[in-house]
Amino acid sequence: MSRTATFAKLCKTVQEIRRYRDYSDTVRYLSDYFQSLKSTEDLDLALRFLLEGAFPSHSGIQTSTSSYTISTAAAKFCDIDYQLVFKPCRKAAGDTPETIKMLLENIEESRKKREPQEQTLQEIMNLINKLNQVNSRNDKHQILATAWMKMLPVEIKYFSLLLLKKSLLESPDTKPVLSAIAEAYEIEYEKVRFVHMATGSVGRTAVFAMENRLNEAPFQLFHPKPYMLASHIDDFDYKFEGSDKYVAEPELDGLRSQIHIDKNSVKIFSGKRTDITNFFPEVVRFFKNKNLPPVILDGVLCVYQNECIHPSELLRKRLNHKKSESFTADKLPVLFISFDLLFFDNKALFGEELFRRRQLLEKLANNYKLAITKQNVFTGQQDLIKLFNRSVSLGNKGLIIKQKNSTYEYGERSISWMKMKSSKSTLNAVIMYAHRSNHRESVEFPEFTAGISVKNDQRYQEDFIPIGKIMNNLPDDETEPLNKKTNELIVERYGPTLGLIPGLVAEIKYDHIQVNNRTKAGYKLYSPKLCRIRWDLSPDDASTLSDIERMYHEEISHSTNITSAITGR
Amino acid sequence: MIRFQKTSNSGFYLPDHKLALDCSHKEANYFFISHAHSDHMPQNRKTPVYCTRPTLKFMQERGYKGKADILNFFEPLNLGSVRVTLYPAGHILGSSMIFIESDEGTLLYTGDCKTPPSPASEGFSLPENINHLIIEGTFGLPIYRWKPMEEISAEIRNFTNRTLNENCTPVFLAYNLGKAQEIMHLLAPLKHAVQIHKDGYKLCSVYEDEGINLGSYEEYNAETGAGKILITPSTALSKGFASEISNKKIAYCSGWAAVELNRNRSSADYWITLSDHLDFFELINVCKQISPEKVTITHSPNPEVILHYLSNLGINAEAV
Ligand SMILES: [Zn+2]
Ligand SMILES: [Zn+2]
Repeated sequence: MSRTATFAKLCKTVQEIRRYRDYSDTVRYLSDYFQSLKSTEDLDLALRFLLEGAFPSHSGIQTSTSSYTISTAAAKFCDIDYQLVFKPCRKAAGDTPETIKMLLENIEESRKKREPQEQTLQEIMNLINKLNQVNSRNDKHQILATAWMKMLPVEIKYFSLLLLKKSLLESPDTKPVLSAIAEAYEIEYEKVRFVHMATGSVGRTAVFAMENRLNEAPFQLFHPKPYMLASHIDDFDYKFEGSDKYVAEPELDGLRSQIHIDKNSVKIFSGKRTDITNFFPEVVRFFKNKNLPPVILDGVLCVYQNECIHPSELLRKRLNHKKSESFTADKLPVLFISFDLLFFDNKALFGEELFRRRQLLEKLANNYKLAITKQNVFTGQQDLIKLFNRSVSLGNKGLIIKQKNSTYEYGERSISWMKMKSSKSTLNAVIMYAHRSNHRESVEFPEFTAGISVKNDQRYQEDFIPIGKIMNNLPDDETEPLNKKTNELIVERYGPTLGLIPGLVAEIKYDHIQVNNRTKAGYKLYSPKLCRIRWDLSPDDASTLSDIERMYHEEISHSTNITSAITGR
Repeated sequence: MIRFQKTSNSGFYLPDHKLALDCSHKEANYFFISHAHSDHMPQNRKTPVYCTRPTLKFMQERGYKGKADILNFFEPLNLGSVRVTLYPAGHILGSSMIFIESDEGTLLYTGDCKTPPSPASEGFSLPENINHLIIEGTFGLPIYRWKPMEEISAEIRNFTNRTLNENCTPVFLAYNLGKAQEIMHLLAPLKHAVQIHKDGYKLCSVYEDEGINLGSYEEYNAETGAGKILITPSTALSKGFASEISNKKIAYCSGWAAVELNRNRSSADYWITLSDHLDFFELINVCKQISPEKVTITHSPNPEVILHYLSNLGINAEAV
């Protein structure tokens, strides 16, 4: 049956890609798959499933079936007890879709019920829509059970994944997908990439490629563009060749975002390029009143009050509200501060040099009274460090150093922009679990789960609770004693995960603390790193949950003096 | 019912008969060893034990110095108050289940076991009339269901052929005792030279003595290893085994490979779900088939799930 693309074929392709995790294999599998598609509708839908999920990410529509609903439906389908059987299975398998796949594949009751028929991509989409139209768990269970009867285990897995608001490819990286489009339709990669940026949609790019009409692809406003990202420099001795070629901008504590404006129409996209317009009505109102010509601004959304920028954690909280109205109660004044201009005067500016884009941005900011970041020049290394220290002391996160003649390298972490960051916070954590690897070149325990103390905390029974996973990036001579001690402390074993007796204390650096209700602690460390093992400390010296709570509250009450950071308005 | 105590490592002690199963209890008079994996071997290298001939040979290769009495499968041994018989456990060569008959009833201790049995073992068979079954539940969740051995062995051979055709060297990650030789046995029909890690190499002749074909193999040699099939435990790989060989593809062979999460953590190139333990469904089947008065589950990270299934079948069970 080759009438239309089957979901099974897409799932098998994805399964292979996830299995091998190799860039060129990924491109080859995808390219083979794209070539097998005959209609543009299928191509568009396949790409959405691969990269965005069930619904286009900028559409703001989401699936409404919870993990609990899907899991209990699977338990029912297999005739097993959800609490007693499904949950321990999920704990061992790690995630819901994989658990469902394994159980529906293994358990006799489910094997008897299933009679796989080839589902088209469109049929899968219809099912997702149908699930979104009903509210009761019972109705959803019924739709799921009927749908699963016609599916292979691998289809059931990826169908569940889509329902859980995930995309089929694990990595949001569009590069292998664009390469596969280029390969499938025999087109130059850079051309495909440009059209992707212009249209803002991989699906549309693929369709233009399939129809051999890339030249006709329009530059589209209100589709999020890939961001240019800064590379990190850890060491402050980095030499900037000819400092007159650079400018430095403060790194503000805010949410990176892109605003598309055409007079009365305003759309805001997040750093992950999802549409967050509805979360910031005050920003939309601000720009609507300005009556701007068609522009795309790149910048950050900041909490701004009394001439100060306040921690962006407060904004992240706002994005977590389910209903977009409820947050208005938080009364946080939000300001968008631009640092780049990507579209102006009916022209895309990606190919223009930074100083030219800046000229246009300054003019625009001046005419319309918009806030833009301050740019500083520096004369040499000493000057730059001075600038950095001043910026950080005024509350900024660091500096972004940009090459004046660089183009806007969309979708790249480029060395034309470099990030100098202020030193991070640290805490002392107990190592609770070690995670083993079977990698040829790798260390014995590439990852550990770090924990904090709740010994004297009424809210918890246990002594320690996890606060996050940390990678082991210590040098070899420090890893060796760590491995030795870890092996001595092992008490339980769950496959590659090893439970340890508390006995190792690690000093951990992290960027900031986030509230996260899915963790036992209620907090999560953002980008934690292992700095060293504190052989001098015992688990009694570990940081406590109250320490974390205190640090979190310090973090969110910190603010930045605005005059150091922005001009305009 | 025969009284028993769980001991610190994998083993059990039967105080009324002073019998130690896979452990070294200080009051025991008789020590039985189910198989030669290190978590079942006696901690004291001189403890006199009863075991099968292959088990003794493996233990001697691994440093056992004691005096052992060899028992053949199915041949009962009378020890005054009890009669002890070994039954093949299907886990690795020489692995046995220990069946004890006494006035208080009978007990079968499975050690590590597998059914359908490993093709490189003496098979799996159960005695009649078991009152109390002590069985391992390493893979005690319904997410674990092994494919038939023919499918797994085809997968192993396909991986090998494909890798060799790409001018790469296939490397299998497998324990030195059991898994390594099982893979060699499955690959023997390919008639392609195998090189195995030195610790596994020492154990191969025991398999051949028992008539199990391991194909043509030699000890790993960094200079001549390229293009041969290599077999090594993963620990040796991280210490530099095969580091001289540039084009290689690594296959991780384990029951844990069934779980995608574990595969993601390993960075092998290929994963083969090959276990030397029985899967969940066989475990439940064995219990159902025997229908003993009592089942004791050991070695299980999730005994509650097994207990739930057994209680639905009306089988009285506990976990230790
Ligand atoms: Zn064993
Ligand atoms: Zn064992």
